[in-house]
Amino acid sequence: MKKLLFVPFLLLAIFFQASAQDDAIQKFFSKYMDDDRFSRVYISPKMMQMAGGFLKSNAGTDKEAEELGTLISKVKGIRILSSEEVDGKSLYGQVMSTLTKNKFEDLMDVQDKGSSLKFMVREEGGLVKELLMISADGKDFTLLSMLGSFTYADLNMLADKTDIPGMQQYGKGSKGSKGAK
Amino acid sequence: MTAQAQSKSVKAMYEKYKSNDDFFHLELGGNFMNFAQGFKIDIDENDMATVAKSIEKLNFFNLPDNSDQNKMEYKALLKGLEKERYELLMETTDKKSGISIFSKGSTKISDLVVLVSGDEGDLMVFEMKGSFDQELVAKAVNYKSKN
Repeated sequence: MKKLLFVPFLLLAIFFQASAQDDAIQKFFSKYMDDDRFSRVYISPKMMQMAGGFLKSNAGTDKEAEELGTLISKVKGIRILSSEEVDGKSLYGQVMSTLTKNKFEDLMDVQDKGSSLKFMVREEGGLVKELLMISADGKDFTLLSMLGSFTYADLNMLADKTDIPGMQQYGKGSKGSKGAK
Repeated sequence: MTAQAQSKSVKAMYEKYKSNDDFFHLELGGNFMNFAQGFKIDIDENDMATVAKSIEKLNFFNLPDNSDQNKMEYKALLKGLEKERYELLMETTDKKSGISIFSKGSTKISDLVVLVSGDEGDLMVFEMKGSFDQELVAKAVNYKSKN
């Protein structure tokens, strides 16, 4: 009987585990989402799926466009939080300390005069489940999160072939230290 | 999947303002093709025509100018739509202005609600009802971008 009771709880736990698709911004920095100094952008997985479908349906015989469409469909949401009226450096420090405590690993770090740009990843089973871009420069601050399930080759392709937010910076950085990982 | 009743949150907003003289409401139903042709939107391709025909009803609301009230109304609509299990497709906000696009359905998008808030506190709500295939919408977007 006890075993039978355990089953629905287990199923419930699995369901919640499966539906826990929160990105780092939602998990750790949601307080800034209601802050008027910040701009927000969110693109849902469904929207990405539509964009991917759009590419695939127009690919015709173009194999590369079809692959890119499939890759774009893998993006399970993009969220951006940015401001031009905060203390970028101090916020950068706060964000870094929260992220390193929460198992995000450094992927790329560019420090140039007063500006900082960092890419961090959360990996599971050898795949990148979340890519974060954190940039700070004077009063500017941007935090970008992209959820999905990518190989590093996928990320390089996204950087090379798309205008997805953050990917341009990723492309520039990874060309400096070819094959970031 | 056919169109369900109007969103309860949007309907509540409409009921609240319908007697206000500064509240603007436009409703388009029936043959959307005629409406589109009237506005000289080029829709001679099959896919685009199918998308247009899929729209069963279009509602447009423009709320009276009242920045504080509209800010609250925007937030109430966001919460209400989430409660009604509308899914946020896309959102972009910048200080006072913002656009949020909500939809219902999975492979077939059945309802679309778009909230547009302006810098000066103006708030517009678009509601489209129908049944749209995701891939079909994608094709239509591509067709429009080519023309």
